[in-house]
Amino acid sequence: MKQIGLTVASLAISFLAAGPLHAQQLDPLALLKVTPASVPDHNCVICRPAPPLYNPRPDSPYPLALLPLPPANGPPVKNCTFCHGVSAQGLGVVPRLAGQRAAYIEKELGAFRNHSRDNPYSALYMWNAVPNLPPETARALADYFSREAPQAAADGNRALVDQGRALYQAGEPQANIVTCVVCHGPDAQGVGAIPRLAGLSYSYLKRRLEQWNQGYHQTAKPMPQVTRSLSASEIDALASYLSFLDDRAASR
Amino acid sequence: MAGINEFNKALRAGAAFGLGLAGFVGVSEDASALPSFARQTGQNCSTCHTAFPQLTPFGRRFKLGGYTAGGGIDTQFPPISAMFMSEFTHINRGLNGPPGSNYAPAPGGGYNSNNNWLDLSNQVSIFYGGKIWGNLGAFVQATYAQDAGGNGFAWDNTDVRYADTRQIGPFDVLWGLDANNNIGVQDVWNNMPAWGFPFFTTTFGFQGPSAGTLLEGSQGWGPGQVVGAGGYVFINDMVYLELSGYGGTSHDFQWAITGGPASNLLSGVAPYYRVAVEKNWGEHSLEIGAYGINANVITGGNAALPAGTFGWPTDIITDNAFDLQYQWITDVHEVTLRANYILERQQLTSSLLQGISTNNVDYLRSLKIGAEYVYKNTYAFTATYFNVNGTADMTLYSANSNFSPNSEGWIFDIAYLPFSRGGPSIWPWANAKFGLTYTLYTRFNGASSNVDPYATSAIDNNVLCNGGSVTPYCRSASDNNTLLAYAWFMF
Ligand code: HEC
Ligand code: HEC
Repeated sequence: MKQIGLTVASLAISFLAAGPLHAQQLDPLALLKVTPASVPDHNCVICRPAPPLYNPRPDSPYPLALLPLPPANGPPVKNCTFCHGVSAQGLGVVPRLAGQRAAYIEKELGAFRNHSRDNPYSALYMWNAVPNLPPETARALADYFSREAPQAAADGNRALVDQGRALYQAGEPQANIVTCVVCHGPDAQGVGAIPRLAGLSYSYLKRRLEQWNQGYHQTAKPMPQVTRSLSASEIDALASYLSFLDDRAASR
Repeated sequence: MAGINEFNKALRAGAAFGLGLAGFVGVSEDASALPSFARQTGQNCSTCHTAFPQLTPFGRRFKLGGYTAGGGIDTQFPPISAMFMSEFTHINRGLNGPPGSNYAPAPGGGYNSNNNWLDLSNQVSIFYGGKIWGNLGAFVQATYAQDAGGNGFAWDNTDVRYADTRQIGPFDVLWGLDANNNIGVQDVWNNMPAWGFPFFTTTFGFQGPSAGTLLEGSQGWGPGQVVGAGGYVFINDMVYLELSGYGGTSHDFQWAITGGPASNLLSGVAPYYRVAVEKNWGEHSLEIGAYGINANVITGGNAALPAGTFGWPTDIITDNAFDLQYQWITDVHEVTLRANYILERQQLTSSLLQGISTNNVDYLRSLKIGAEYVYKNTYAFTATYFNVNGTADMTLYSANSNFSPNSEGWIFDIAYLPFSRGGPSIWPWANAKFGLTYTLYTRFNGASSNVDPYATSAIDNNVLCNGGSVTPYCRSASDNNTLLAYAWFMF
């Protein structure tokens, strides 16, 4: 009997705790009739309202004033680094953000938000990381990470580096492989919204190049066409070569 | 007549468990896939757990980062969650030995007090889990358990952290200060017994083998009977170093907050260390580590001594452990291999003086090796081998065969986690786990047969049992095999 009382009480507290968020973001009724935001549904009858653009609030005042804690400042980097690594050098399947082009980071955050970047790990992790990210915060984060000095993962197959370099710089016209260097730059540092590739991890680069051929993220022009004529061993060579490129300088 | 009775029992057990399965109630002992964490980060439980409470590399970093990472919804309200657990326990053979044996009828509970127990509301917990402010975060659990220990709400696992990052030369350092109330709850690799497998054990009947190491809870120090504080650094997302100290809390405090003192007192400060290296590459993660504690214990001190007595000799318990964890995590498959080995040295000065032990020094070794496979974060299968062995002690293990602490066996677990990748749309942070655990003993308290040396028949003594379980009173290790069905729900 007592337990049932307690359960009801705890349920009540827990619903109460989430009360403000229902008001703010997640109207449960709206949730029941959503069409996924990813699908550009032109004839949708009940469309989900666009996610509200809210101003990033400063941290609410410290409720207990027990400890002289410094206020949090800067963009909420922690929200990203528990996956991307303490200084965003990448971790496991999660790519490095340090030194990545700010414009590219912002572009990708948009692609996660509208689900056009639909790679399996994107859907599993990044789709959940962006819905509550206001555009100003996204820009601030992109700027922050682009200024962090990147370290090369250097985890590819060294034996393939020469083959990879040749492909990267000259392509293979007879096999219809374009040169990467024209867009990604001589040291693969990227420019504008074209990403820096130098020193990204081998497994990430390989996965990205493979997944365009598997039909994922087809909006990332021109990469789906670029990868079409790449063989498995060429992908291996490119990913290996790029993973070793030393690139300490941070970019913008 | 008996047949109908049996049928009735089975029916009631089935119906009751079915009710649990229906998702009406349920929950875990040490649950940590907290819905409030999911709300705070915007992530599903499956980001941080393969099948909770086993953590993924992301879950480990979320915890080390002080539970403060966000990305979800800012509720402006305390991150409260609740959990509810039901369980059903079946022991292979009833605990119905004659008076004087180790297996006298177990008190209370269930529909058959000998070998079946059922409690639909076994445990209720309320959690505060998440960011408090800035870099300060906490995991605090209060539990109402009616079978395990005392009755009433008690302070359960708690871990409060302040964590920040700093670049020191070529090192990216995540550093933190931590305060907690249970040895090992602060750890992030699920080898440490506080969060290790088996994640759920029955709260009914007997509680498994009699011998265990301090780190496995052998001193009976539940959350709040000791408190600890320390600091840690996590360097380059790879090297983890921690130093903490634990001390006992006062009797008054224990009565007020934890449901009563344990019989053994921790004297002074017990230093605790943890080192680990975790390497992540692609979908793989490998950890190798060591940890340990050195504690001065006044065995039976609670009964023998008023609180705060000085100058009493102590037992010195030293645990050193080595652990290994490998994970392969993709979007479909998740494999976790765990190995943990604890070596305990017991300098039993106090016990010897009080006639609790015969030897001055005993050793205990505890090994656990296990594998877990989870499919799409929804179906979990776990098999674990365990082996506890150590020095025979005529007094300490007087109830065991050959006075030996040795036990050995396997634990199998299957579980269904319907909401790991998001709960029902009205409450997407809900989480649930329904499972069956089977514990199989090949050796129990020193032997594989006749594990209850006190078992006597009405006419004769234990001699009857030599050579196997030939009389109704003799008990073999496998008679203690235990089936546990659990259902939990978090919201
Ligand atoms: C739960 C883990 C997790 C969290 C939290 C997370 N990420 Fe990610 N992120 C990933 C994974 C995994 C990928 C790779 C996705 C893929 O393989 O397609 C990724 C990819 C990215 C990419 C694409 C990088 C590239 O080179 O194309 C960007 C940009 C990014 N994340 C930014 C962020 C930001 C900003 C945040 C914090 C607001 C964040 N992430 C939080 C796991 C995470
Ligand atoms: C015509 C310009 C162009 C050429 C040529 C080109 N790329 Fe790209 N690449 C891009 C752009 C633009 C993107 C960003 C696409 C997006 O996500 O929107 C990109 C993205 C990538 C990415 C993803 C990086 C990340 O962080 O996820 C990889 C890997 C890549 N390119 C490799 C290559 C390789 C290898 C070649 C040569 C075989 C190549 N690219 C040739 C323009 C180009």
